[in-house]
Amino acid sequence: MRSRRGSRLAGLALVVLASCLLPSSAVRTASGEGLAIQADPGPPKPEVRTEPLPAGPRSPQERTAVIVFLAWMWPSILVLIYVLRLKVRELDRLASFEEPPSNRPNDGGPAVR
Amino acid sequence: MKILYSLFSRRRFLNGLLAGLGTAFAGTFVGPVVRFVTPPYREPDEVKLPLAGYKDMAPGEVRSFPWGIKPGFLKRRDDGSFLGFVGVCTHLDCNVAYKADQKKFFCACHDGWYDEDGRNIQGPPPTPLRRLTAVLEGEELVVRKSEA
Amino acid sequence: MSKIAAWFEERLGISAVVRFGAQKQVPLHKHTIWSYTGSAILVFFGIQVATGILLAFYYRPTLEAANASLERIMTEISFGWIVRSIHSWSATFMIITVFVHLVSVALTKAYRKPRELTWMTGALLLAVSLFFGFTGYLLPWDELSLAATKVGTDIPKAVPVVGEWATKFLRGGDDVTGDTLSRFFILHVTVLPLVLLLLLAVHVYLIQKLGMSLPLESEIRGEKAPGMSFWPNFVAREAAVWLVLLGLLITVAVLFAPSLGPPADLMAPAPEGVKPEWYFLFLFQTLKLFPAKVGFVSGETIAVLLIGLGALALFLLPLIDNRPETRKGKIVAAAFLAFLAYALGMSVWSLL
Repeated sequence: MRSRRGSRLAGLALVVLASCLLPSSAVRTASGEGLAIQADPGPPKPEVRTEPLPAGPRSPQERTAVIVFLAWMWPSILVLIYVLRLKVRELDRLASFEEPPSNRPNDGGPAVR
Repeated sequence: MKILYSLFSRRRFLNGLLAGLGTAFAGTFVGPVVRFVTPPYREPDEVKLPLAGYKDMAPGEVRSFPWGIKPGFLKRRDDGSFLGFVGVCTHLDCNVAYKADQKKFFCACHDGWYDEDGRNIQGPPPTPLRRLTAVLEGEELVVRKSEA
Repeated sequence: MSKIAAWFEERLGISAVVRFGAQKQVPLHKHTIWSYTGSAILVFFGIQVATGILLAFYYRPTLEAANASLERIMTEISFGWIVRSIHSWSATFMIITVFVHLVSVALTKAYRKPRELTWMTGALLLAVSLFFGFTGYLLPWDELSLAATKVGTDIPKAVPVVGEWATKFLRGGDDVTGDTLSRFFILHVTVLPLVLLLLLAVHVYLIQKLGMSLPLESEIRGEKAPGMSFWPNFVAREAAVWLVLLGLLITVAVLFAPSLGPPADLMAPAPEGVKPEWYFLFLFQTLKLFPAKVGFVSGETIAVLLIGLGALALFLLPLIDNRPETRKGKIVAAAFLAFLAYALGMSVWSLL
């Protein structure tokens, strides 16, 4: 019994080893042996951009749209946080009615202060 | 007079406010996303063709040309002027073929037929083929979107 | 309205989930603030999914078209430059929050028994996140991304036995080519998201099953920390954090949109000042430190093996630190801090 398990283990090890080695050897034989590549200038390449392309608004309208968006986003985030804070206080008050005082949540949030 | 109790609880008011503001906030992201997923329409305003390729057309003859990324057809009228069509079926957007022997445009998708002037004559196409204007400008034939 | 709600409730039974959320307690103590980092990662991941899908509408993962398709996104498509910028910045924000999350859990030793597997899935999630960043970096197919990928995919070569094959697998051949691009794209948009979601499911399940950890000190003293219901009390607080993070992300993305380098040229020399993304800088610098040869082995092999050992130690941290309250635990904590200082120092050094 034991020897059979041992041989099975050895077989498994062999398979693992082979599967580690096989792919690389297979690739090696397959990779371009006897492959002659002639230097060929080929068709002329189309114009390639050589400078980095800066990112930004593509038109004055888009620039305005982005500024308007930011100017709308931050006030609405502040208002939402204010309302969330009211909500949090209400929720905590509700929770404090339900739970024993030892378990009462304190005002532990970092953002909603 | 002071109202002794509210018909509308503070809790519901807060919930509604939060939901409304949250929706409005999220809603502002919809516009830019919709704009992003809608790529700019790319139909050409005009296509310039060398006259040399179309000069020898006989009256009544029809030849194809590329209208941007769609097939276009040019027909030579009896008076020598040109008439252009967008070669796309008005039924469900398939490309049509010109059958020179029958002098008809044929759409294979749903068996639609147009006559040589692009009028829908048989099958499901609801309207004639879209027309383009073609004018001679020097040695070029300029095909434009036609108004009307 | 309530009838419709009742119809769905009868079939979906969402109230059970809500009840579970209400029962789940977020313990309140001086380290509670770190509990906000987990969901912050999820916010950035969600943004990555959304903006990634949007970009994939126009992106073309081929050698010829990749750079040009990004150019089109940035010049032709409405708000394309912002979508790309948000995707790029959200990746950075996500990695930052992942690091903060990891460091906070490590320093509070929240990985201790029975939460070892939560940490390990977290460590794998970190690896997946970094691989996301690595594969995504190639996709614009500009000079920098090509050079970074050549270097990055060459590193596994130094690993004995399997290294050579690993490099070939990553590149889809001996060199970085269009095949590499296809491969990285499909890893980036299908394989990695699936793996991440799977790991995330296990990670989050474990957090629900085991509950949130208490600080080591109060556990030793046998204290019961006061708690707060996860839903809705804690989530309402988290929502405020999400909003601020979202606002910061969009503002940064609009103000500092990344430019697009010229298309990669397989024949061109590497551009000067090649650097990987900031989160790989300390590894980059470590590799620079090692000499070409140490005895009979190449310096690179030793460096790569050391990095691998470090990663393994990080993965197995809860098993190594199995007695966190003893002297051994203090040594592990000191070692972790030393590692942090090393990574930080190396990153700064490589920028000088």
